[in-house]
Formats: sequence, C-alpha cells, structure tokens
Amino acid sequence: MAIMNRKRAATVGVILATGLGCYLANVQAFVRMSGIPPWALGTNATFSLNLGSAGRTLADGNTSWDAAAAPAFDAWSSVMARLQIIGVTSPGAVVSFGNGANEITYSNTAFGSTWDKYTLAVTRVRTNGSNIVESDIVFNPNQSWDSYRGALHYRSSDGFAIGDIRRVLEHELGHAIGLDHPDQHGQTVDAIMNHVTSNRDALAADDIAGGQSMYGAASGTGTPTPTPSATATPTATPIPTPTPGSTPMISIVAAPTSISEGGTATFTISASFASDVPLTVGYRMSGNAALNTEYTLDGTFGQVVIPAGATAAVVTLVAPSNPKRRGSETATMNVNLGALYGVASTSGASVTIRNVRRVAASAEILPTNEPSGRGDGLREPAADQDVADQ
Amino acid sequence: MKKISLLSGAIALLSIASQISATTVIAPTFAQLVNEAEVIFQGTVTASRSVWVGEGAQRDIMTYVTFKVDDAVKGTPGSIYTISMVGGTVGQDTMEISGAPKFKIGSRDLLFVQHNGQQFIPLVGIMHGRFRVQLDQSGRDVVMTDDKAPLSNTAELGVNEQNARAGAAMSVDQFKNAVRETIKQSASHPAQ
Repeated sequence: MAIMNRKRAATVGVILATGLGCYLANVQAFVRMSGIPPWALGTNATFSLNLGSAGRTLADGNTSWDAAAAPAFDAWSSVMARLQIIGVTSPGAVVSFGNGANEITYSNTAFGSTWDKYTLAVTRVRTNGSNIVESDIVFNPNQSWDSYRGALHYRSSDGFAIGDIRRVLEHELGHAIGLDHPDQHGQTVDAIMNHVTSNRDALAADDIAGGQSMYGAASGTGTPTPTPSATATPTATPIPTPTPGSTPMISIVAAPTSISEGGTATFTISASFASDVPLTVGYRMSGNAALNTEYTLDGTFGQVVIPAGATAAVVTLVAPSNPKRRGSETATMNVNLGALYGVASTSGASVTIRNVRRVAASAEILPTNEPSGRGDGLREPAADQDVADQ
Repeated sequence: MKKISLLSGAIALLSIASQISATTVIAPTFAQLVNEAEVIFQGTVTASRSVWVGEGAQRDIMTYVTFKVDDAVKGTPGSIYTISMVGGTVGQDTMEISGAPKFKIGSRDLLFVQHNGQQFIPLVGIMHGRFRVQLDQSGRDVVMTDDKAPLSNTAELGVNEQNARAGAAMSVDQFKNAVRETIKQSASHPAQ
C-alpha cells in the first residue's frame, strides 16, 4: 500500500534513536502480506512505467520520473533468484485492474477514490488464489516529489517530507512481491518496508531477507543477516550439551492444533527461564503442507528471537484459502539444536490445516436412510457456511 | 507528470498546509484524528461484502463494511453505518491494499471516518483512524490500535507512537471522554 508521508520534527531524531535501541534488543523481521500468495516461482513480472517527464531537473540530475525510479526494479531483482521484476518505460500506460498487466503511474485518484493527505503511493495486488498475477502502483500527485538519496528533504511550507520517487517505488515494489509493513505488525526494524517514509533510501537487510524468503537468494547474494544485531550467531563449533538449570530449555506449543484454510495458528516457542540477552532459536518445518503455498510463517524463516528478559516468542502460521487443497495437511515445527539453549522433550508441535469446501445456499435433500438430520429431509444449515473437511 | 500538474499540486499543498496544525507527527495526532473526522463512533461489525464496481480500466473491487453503531461520539452516523473501502476478495480475485484495516464480523471498533464513499480508505490516516475495542482480563473494554497494540496515551499519538503504546490499555470510556473533550476544545478554540 500505502506508504505514508511524514513531517519534519524534532521528534524524528528521537523516534529513530528509539527505534534503533529497540532494534538492538529485538531483532525482528519482515512480514508477508497475510493471505497473499507469492508470484509463481520463475516469473518475470514486467511493469509498465508511465510516471513521465519531470519537466525539470531533479535533485539527482534525472529529468524523467521513470529514469529516476527505474533502479528500484533492479534493487529487488538483483537479490531474488526466482522472481524478476522489470520496469519498462511505457508512455500512455494507464492503470487497469484485471487486465493482467502491471502498471505504474501518477494518478489523481487512488484506484478510483480520492487520496487522503498522508499517503504517498498505493499498491494493489491481484491474486488468482494460488499466486499473485497482477500488481498496479499509483503515486499521489498531490504530494511533492523529487529524486534524491540520503536523508529526507522537507517542504518549508508545512514540514511534510518531499517524496523520493525511487525509495517510494522500492517500498511499493516490496508490496507488489508480497511484503507487508513490519512496523504495523509489532516489529521494530530498519526497513524500506516500514509504512512511513524515512531516511532509509535503499533496501535493508530485512527487506532483502523478506524477498528471498519467498523467491530464494540470487546467486552470490546469500541470505542477509539483519544488522546491527546483538544476537549471538551460532557457529559451526561443536554444540555443547546444555546443563539443565544453566541454559534455558526450549519447548514449542501450537495453538490451535487444527485450523481450517484461511485460519491462523501460533507456535509459541518458550524458554524455561528468561535470558539476559536475546535468544535466537533455530527451527525447521516438516510435514506434508508446503511452506509458502499451503501456509506462511511470519518473521524470519528458520529462526525466532526471544527478547532479553522474556520467556517466549510467537511465530504465526497463516493458511490462506487454497482451492487446490485436498483433505488435511500438517505443518510441524521442531527446534534445532543451539549452543545457547537446550531442547526440551516437547520441542516439536504440529498444526493440521483442513480443507474448506463451500456449501451452496440451498436446501439439500438427504437420502431417506440418513441417520441424522431434521427429519423433514432437509439438511441444516441452508445458508452459506464454511465447512471444514476433517 | 507535467509541469502544470506540479504547479497545481504545489498550490493545492499550500492550501492544505494552512489546515495542518503545527504538530510533529508521522501519523495523525489525536487532535487531528478528532478534528479531521466527520464521524466518530463505536460500532460492531455486522456485515462485510466485496463486489466489483466500475467498468473497464476503472473496474475495481470495493468492500462495504457495515457496523451497528453502539455509540455515536461525533457526527450523526445513525444506528447502522457502512464504510466503503477499496480492495477485497470476490471469488478468486483478491485486491489487497496492504496496511488497510481489516474487519471481521463481530469485531468492535472505534472509527474516525472521513470522506466515506470518496476516499480509498475513509479513515483519517488510514490505519491510524481505526481502534479496536477488546475486553481485558478484568472484563473491562479497552482500546487497542489497529495493529493490536494497547493504546495507553492519546496525547502521544502521532508524536511518539511507541510512547502511545507504552503502558496498559486505556478504557473505552476514557478514550471516548478524551475524544469528547477534544471536540469541546476545538469548538471553543476553532483556530487551533
């Protein structure tokens, strides 16, 4: 969506400093858009770019919005293995939903509705239930725009930030590939995907990790580790056997243990006692439900951080509706061995994801030998109802 | 974008600027939420439906969320109020506006509505114009933000969002009293 503008203020520095402090103690991660599947792996998604001529020389020397914004595509594509997003300057392109084409323009409306005064740009994503199949981005022409790197520039008239076309497009393209705002999901992290534009003018490690969680890491880029981090990174040295009482023992509980598609469950990773430092716990997934297809997990895949002084952290599983799903599938989380913690006997937990089929809004005649029912041959309920296959 | 559009935008911004109070926000302050909202109410979601609207290039999915109004705090929402938002799911087509508030039937909310039927998300500051009402452990109705953080201090909204969420959630009554007090102050000091 919707990346918001901000106003210059003395509090900006305070907010950044506060955010950094939290970040050091609470390394968190990108967030996927709930219920939105990724693009089909291997896709080359071409975006028609029609931001047009700037009509002036922008701060970075460009004279075209398209040229100024274009590096945003490569910023994402260069770090992902199985999705490439490509911008092609297309004068005359207009945003249209459902045409299977991806368009980027300035627009006097936010997809047919009026803008509010706090929003710089909005992305919409269309799926077919299994994959993203289309994405459009519109920029708010009522805002002030330029193209520049580094700290935000502000309007002297009212203190609102001047939108940097490139960083805002990087943010919106993050939505176009399926990422959400981490700062709207309890995360405190340095990321271009935060919902308020900031001094960050390029993808952060957390943003890259988000893209790579869905589409893999491009050759040579590796999987970035969010920095700065106060969390100790397990090394390849032999893992000592934890002594109960001296190192926390880690256990997992899933709740609920059975959900219908479209539902949400949580894995709560608990330590037997709080640690003085953030505790990074590694985990792995197994079971016959496919990650990123049958379900998604929030946070950085494969690890979760229990903050210093806390005894638990939560990973949320979301099972999007999937018309191809048949029967029930299981997602199991197990704790990996770690140097800084022990693994309790309850170090694994499973969630069963049940298929949902829709009962039509009509009465249905039961066979006369049906052992249960209303007795009048009609099955209840007659209205629309989601029914979970057991 | 043509130069003339930029000039028009700048003129529009200057006119907007005069309406913006000199606050230091990255999100609307509480006063901005209250003053910019045309309607403020506490309600319970009773229905939600998504439909295709428009034709051709203007074809979009809209979602209409209907509330039973439990308490009107500002304006006259009536007993039933429906907001229209861009986005939603129709059949297998989903149009997602990331960051837009999502409502479930039965959920209780406090909404700060502006330009309903016109604005793509008709809430002041989009997600900032929606607060959740939840029961705390003592059975008291308390206020949570859209992203489910406890709201403890309205004065810090839009000033320091982390401070606004730093303590225990305030009660719904406290929150609505704060809204009403802000309305009173704005009425008696319209220039502010």
